[in-house]
Amino acid sequence: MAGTSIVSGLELHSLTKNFGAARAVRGIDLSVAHGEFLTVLGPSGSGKTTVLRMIAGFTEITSGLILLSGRDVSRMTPAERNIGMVFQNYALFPHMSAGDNIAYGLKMRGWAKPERVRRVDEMLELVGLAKMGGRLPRELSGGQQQRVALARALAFRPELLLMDEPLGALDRELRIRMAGELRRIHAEAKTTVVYVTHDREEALTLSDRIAVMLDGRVEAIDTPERLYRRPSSSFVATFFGGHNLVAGKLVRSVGEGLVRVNVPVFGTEIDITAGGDVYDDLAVAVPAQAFRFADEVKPNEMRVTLKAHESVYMGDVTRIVAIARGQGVETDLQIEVPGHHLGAASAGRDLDMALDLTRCIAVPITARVQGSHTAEAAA
Amino acid sequence: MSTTTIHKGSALSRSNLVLSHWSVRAIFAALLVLVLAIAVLFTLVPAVVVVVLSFSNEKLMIFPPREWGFRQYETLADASFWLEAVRTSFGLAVSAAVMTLVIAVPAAIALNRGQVWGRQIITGAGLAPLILPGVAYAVAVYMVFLQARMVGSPVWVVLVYAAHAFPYVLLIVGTALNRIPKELELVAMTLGASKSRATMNITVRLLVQAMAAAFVFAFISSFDESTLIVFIGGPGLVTLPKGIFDSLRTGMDPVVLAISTILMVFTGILAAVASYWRSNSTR
Repeated sequence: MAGTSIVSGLELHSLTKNFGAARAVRGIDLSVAHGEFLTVLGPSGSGKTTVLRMIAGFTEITSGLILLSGRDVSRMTPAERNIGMVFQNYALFPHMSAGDNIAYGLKMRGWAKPERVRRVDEMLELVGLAKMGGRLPRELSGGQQQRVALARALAFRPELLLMDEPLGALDRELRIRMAGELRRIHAEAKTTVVYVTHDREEALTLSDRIAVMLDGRVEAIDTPERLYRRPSSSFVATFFGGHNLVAGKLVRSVGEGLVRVNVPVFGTEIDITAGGDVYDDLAVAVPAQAFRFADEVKPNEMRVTLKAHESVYMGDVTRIVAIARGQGVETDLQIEVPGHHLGAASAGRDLDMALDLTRCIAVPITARVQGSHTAEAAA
Repeated sequence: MSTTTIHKGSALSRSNLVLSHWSVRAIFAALLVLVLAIAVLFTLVPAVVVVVLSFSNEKLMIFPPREWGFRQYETLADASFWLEAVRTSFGLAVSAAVMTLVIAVPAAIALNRGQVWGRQIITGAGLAPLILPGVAYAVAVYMVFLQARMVGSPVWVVLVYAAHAFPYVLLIVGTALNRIPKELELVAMTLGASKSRATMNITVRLLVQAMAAAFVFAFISSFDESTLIVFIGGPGLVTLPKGIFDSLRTGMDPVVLAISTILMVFTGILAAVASYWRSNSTR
């Protein structure tokens, strides 16, 4: 992991939050390197917002430690922590101009007027709003307001920038543009960023690493690429990768990280990579793109016969829902093939396909914890 | 081809439907205007009569007056009884409004933002004066005042007036608070402000117009109050409404018309200003 020898930008040790009897966050350990962009990704109710609020100091922690550049900030007020914050609803002060919004943090921290003015201009420049400093928030578009919020959060040079679904209120096109902007600004400002979202695409485009949260725990933390190619659990495979899950049973380990798995629905045993510690019952994560139409199979491929249930033409790809049957078991599979295969995949047809086994990963089945959703609701 | 005909047909029948729907709505609209006109007429006509008659130059209440002029207003300017009543009303209303704001604004912020036990019950209790029948409430307060020998004491009257105005302030400030995102204060805190400073700099600052509007409403509710004061004011504490009441009991002095006119114009202007502030603050 990045930065094990030097002091990390942010470290969480056994961070826990209980709301009464509900356990919203169940002991999180996390280390974010200086300048790293870490995304906390999770479904609603996973505790990701509670984690963010605890780091910011809005929510008291039940137990654990929060270290900012090695400094224990667990019990400090938000003002003492030196953390910048961007909310989904921008939270600009409506009675202050864009420039005054940006200057507020500098004023609170006792910056002298000339430095303040210089820094505000610098920040407006950074977010591409030079000469707009005099405008009131309501005179700015949603995207512009979000830029001001970002400039305000970065102006006082915080050690850490927290962002709570900052692009959630923007329309799709603007969201993609702002994500690009965010990447550029992060590269220029070199601040450590913790970014919370439930949007997988946002997480993919922005992050150095992604922490996938579920039921108040960190289910997995890794680079986007590794999370996608080698998910460590069935939840990561579906929620992050969007992969299919097929039930399997471990036969034995065959060395070099490979395991032999009996997959009833395919009616055979296959040797595939293990994404985590797999035991008896496991799931095989099968990417939608791991299938291709083929008469003959290559090494590392397996022939599968499926029945097309429905297919949707998406332009560059055709999405097929197909049914795999074998040994009395039935599984729905989402398959993506190049767009021109639409005709071959019309509903009811048998599909002769080759499955790339190198892209299939054996993963342990994620055990869900009961009652965690109520925890987030209580927050 | 066939699809276009179907489209035409459905569009036609839809327009028929819209038309009949529209005519029903027109009838309803006309009825509504009529009812509204009658209501306005019944409310406004007495007020207009009072205003017009206040310019009569008669010593007694005579209709129609034989002579017009400013006699009533001139009498008023010299009548120490009425000037005293105006002063009393002002004093009580301003004190009550200030006191209401001092209590109700922090209460509204606490109920809206803090973790308060029994939020519903406290809010309900705060709004109670709005629902209680006025006279019943006045009698109840009167009994307490009699027991405690507080009748006619301005301080206690101010307190009762403050309770009376409390719901208005709670509602106006509460509504404005609902429109101020909680995140504003949180952001201010990350930017280096203490909790209290964030509240003052952001939330309270954004409440200024709502508080001004609430102040005026609280003022009017006390200035206009004519039920409670009859009971708890005693003989000594005479406000404008009480003075009008008393003077009507002894006979019909046309000077009352001038007072009523001034009262109406004054509170009307205040209410208009307050409404404007309120709509501005919650935009």
